[in-house]
Amino acid sequence: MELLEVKGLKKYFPVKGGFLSKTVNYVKAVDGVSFNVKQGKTLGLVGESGCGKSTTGRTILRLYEPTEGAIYFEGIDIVTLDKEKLRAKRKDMQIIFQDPYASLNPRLTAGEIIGRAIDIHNIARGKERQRRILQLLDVVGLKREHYNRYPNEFSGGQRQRIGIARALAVNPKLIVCDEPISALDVSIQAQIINLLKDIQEQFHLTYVFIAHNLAVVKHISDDVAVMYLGKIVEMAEKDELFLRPQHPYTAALLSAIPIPDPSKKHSRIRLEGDVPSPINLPPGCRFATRCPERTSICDEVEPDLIDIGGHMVACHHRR
Amino acid sequence: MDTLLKVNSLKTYFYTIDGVMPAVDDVSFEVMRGETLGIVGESGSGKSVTALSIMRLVPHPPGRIVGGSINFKGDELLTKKEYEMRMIRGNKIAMIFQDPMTSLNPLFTIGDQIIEALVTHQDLSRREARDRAIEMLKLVGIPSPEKRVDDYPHQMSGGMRQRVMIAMGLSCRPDLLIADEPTTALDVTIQAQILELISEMKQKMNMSVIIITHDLGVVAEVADRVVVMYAGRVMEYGSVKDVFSMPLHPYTRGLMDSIPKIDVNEDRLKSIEGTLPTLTEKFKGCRFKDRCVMADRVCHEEEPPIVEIDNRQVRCFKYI
Repeated sequence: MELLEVKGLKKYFPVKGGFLSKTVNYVKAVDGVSFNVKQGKTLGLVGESGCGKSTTGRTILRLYEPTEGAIYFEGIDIVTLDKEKLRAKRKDMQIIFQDPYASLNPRLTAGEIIGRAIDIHNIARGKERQRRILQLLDVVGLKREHYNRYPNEFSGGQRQRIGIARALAVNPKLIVCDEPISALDVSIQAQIINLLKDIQEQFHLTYVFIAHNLAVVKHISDDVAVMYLGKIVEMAEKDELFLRPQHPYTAALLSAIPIPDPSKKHSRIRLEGDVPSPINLPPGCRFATRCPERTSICDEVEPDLIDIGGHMVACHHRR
Repeated sequence: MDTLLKVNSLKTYFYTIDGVMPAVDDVSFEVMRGETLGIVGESGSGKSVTALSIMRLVPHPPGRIVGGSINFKGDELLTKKEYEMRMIRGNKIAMIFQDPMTSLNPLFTIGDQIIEALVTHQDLSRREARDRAIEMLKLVGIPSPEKRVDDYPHQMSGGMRQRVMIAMGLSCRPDLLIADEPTTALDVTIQAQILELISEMKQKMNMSVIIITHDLGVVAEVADRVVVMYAGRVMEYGSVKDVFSMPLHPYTRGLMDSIPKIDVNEDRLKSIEGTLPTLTEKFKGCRFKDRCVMADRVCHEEEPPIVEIDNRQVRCFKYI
């Protein structure tokens, strides 16, 4: 069953300038993105900085108001919900942020941070509330005595555990994980990835997992979507995508990862040039300025994301 | 190959209100001419403080180099006067930092910033220095360098800025380039370009490079030898080939097992449990003991010395 269906999602940010700060242009951060996530599965969203992956993640929770498009959560288009109904729906949709230092209130104890989430959605009160907080601390691998400690007393990995406990507090169905391990040390990253996998199984969670590290995304995801400048350029089941990358950008991205094994020297696809500005996008394919396979059609017509047999790709040369 | 830099029993301590923190504690390694040495470690391992110690840029207070020696081309750096160090910094030893945005001055053009380094250290006029700056920008692959030389940092992308930092670092043709997490702030496709650029420059100028990173993949790609640091100590030190094919120290092994690999499917990652210890001078036993799967009684009571086996060094009782 599809838990989440995103159709033609767009998010433009106005660029103000000139006399009277009129809107002179738009940053097309997300420009027509569609995907589905099945109940209990994980969709990985990868791409480099500025590709719109985090904006996509936040827009599907309506933390940003979408400019266009529909977001069906359990069949209901949440774009049409009013404030009250949206707030009730948010109980089912949570987010874990990248920076565990900035996303926890420094004036609240770990227990209270988790407790607030419980209060806002009226999940439990009194003794039951207390019991639930302690249980959540246990689930994410923290101890009872951590209840009364403040965020500055925790390490980065432990803070991220608090962030996870807060998200779990309201029994969500979907969690958007926005670069949840990028700010953590290498040896701690594995602990958090394992924890995310464990709780997914335990609570039947669905994830949209956003990251720039392809190895991490491959490890945790069922399906993977590769984004470039606000669009999905390729989307497939993860083994299919990593074994047979179709889009030239995906292939270049995969070949660029340094492999921690000096005996494996791999041939690297060199990408020339820089990413164009999302304000002044080229008329044709957005990747054309850096693409090794560019031909004249790429500069003129923007390719659609098309299914080429269990594998969606947006490239004129893969038809 | 002769030795360019020899760091011996370096100790850099931080004197804080919570006590003395041995950030770098008895660290020794060598860098040969033309060699790339990787220093890997997590935050708090002392890898960046090691680099700052070589440059004599440890913030004081609270930090102080309290022991050891740093020998560069036969000269002891630790007894040098500040003005003597200024002749070496940026000239013989250059350093590039993680974040190219904060290490460039936003108020000056990139040309001005490269020219400043050249005029300070080399006997060049401003005009000659400007030509040299353009030449360096071209060398690091910046398109139309004669125009970009007058750009301000904000007019460039992250990858371009890191190229400017490299151009600046290399402009005086240093013998040693210290790169502290040079690609951490960059995207993978840009990272690949920058790593390639550093290797290429190393070849062209026959210089040595120390690359400091938390990314084992980066070390495997560019370094000849590697120092693995943990909580201020060198845990393992050897050729990249040896260390990566058969890591000896439990920490090195744990670190390698805990990263997901793009070419292997594994259901669950092996993680290193626990967190970095809080260091004080009175720390007893092996610094990795609380997270080590193989720790036994002796590890809690004594700290193992670093020993040499098969052309590499390791600090673990298992090998004594």
